[in-house]
Amino acid sequence: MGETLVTVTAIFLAAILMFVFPLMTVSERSDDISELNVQTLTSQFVDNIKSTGKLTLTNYDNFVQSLGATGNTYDVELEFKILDDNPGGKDTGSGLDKIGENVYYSVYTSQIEDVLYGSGSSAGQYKLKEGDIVSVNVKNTNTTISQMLRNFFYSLVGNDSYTIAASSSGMVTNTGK
Amino acid sequence: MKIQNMAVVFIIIILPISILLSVYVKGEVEVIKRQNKYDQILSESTYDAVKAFKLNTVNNSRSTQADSIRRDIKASINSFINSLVTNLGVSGYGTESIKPYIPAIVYTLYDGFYIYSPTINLETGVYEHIIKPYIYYSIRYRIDNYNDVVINYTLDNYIVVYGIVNGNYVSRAGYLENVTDISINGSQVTYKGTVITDETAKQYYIEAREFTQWINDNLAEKITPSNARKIGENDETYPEFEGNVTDRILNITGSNDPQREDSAFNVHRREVIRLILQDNLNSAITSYSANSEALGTTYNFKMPILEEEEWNRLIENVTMITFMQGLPIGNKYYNGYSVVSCPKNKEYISVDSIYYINEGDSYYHRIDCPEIVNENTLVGYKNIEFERKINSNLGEENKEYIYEHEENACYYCIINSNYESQPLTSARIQAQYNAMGRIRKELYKRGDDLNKD
Ligand SMILES: [Zn+2]
Repeated sequence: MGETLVTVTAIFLAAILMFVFPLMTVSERSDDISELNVQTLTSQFVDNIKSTGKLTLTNYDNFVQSLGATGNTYDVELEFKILDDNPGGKDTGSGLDKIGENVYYSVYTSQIEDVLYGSGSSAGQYKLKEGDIVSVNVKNTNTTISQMLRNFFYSLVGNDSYTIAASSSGMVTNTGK
Repeated sequence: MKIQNMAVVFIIIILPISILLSVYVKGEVEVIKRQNKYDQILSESTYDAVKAFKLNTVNNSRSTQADSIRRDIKASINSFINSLVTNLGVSGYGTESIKPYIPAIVYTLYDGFYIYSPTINLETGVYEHIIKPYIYYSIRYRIDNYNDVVINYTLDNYIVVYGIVNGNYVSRAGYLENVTDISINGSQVTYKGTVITDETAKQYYIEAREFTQWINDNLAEKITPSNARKIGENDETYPEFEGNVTDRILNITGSNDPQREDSAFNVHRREVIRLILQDNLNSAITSYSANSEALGTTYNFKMPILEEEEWNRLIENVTMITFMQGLPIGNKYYNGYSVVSCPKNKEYISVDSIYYINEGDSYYHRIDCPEIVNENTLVGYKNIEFERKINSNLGEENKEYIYEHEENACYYCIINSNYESQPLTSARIQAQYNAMGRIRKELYKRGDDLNKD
């Protein structure tokens, strides 16, 4: 009887070692590679906005599509910080002796998409100017095998869940035309 | 063999493979992350340098004179290198530590460009980074012994011509405009049917018409790209232009209007600028590659292939290009470049870089902004005039900023530029033609002295 219990336990352990462990390793590497792809895509996407001074609908669609091609689904968060160089005191006279006091206001994904998918002469692209700041955050929304396994173990120890994420940001260096 | 033993053997085989794979992938991820980081640092440092260049230009009243430009560029390069070492976290090693990785920096200006790259300094005999002599966007056209001229192109429709025309030595400079677009009737000047009201602008159109007429009479029928020769070399031709005997690039007409991007003149002009830039940059980087041991590196420096869009930016604006190569990242070497334009400068004005003010409005605008209040009172100024500058009358201690114009930037068209563009009414077109002519006439030009004989 005791012998059988040991055998069952051994088979169970062996199963974990021989299936779950390789599955985890392979799926983790696959996630690493996905993350690498996503990070590269995101950096290229942001670099393009920074150097051209605009986000075009084509580039945005291509970016979302290329992300999808990694086999996962992603949530893309855009934030453009628009530099407002009017404050700093032309009217008020204050701040005339100061430099570097820049004020920004932010526009987010939904506002940007409104312009991109909007109508009229400004549609199809979101123009930025020199000095504005672009930041893009990408997170996966599906659950990969590795995430499933990891989250299972994490939930046992009460850790945060793990995602494929990438972000990139920087200052726009050319005013878009 | 018992199943437990099999499991152990399995683990012994799989574990190292898995660990190696993991290390390799992590390494690759690291390389890409470093690469991205360096790209960002390079572009930010270049941007800092362009900002420094702009600031110096705004505050330097003589900033279009050659020695003064060199000084501004020197300051801008210092700011680039300082920003680079700070961002890379190597400031402890000093600025010299980063220079070997910079094969070249280029400043494209209105009528030529500067290259900063390592070469033998003729004054000291030391191999080091220096700003090389200014190179004009010049090309020679040799037709025969009686017609052999050098033409200096610029970022716009202004050209300088010198050499032998019809057997006589001439040197002239001016703007090219389609002569049939400009009509002069007593003191009334019209451009494309619009009456020019600004007196300085009138001068621009009158002079452009006269100069273009001279070009059309003397050179238009003779010059084609196939006549092009490299400056300084003995009749060395450009393979790119050989065989093109049909394009009358200087025959300025309605179908070859310098105001049109796709006119034969502009296509050729851009190609000339690009070829001269490419040739010089290529030879600067190749020569550094051959001599780089002098600065303690053996990396094989190469001129990267710039994208079409980047070339367009280079030949449309005052622009800075920086190259950084050979910095070790993981098992690879970094190889990147950055192109940043400076549309706010004193050298050159494009149609897009004029801002307009109008009566009863405390904002300045672009010409097609829907928020313009009174379009009959529009007056355009160079964008750089709206930048704040240091009040030089107060001295260093009482540093204060002043503005040439009271108005603030319009929120619709300048701060956020996603506005509904308005079709240009005749009043707006008139304001635009007036501003264009007046500003061009007022800009300092190297060739201005040529016509005063
Ligand atoms: Zn406006």
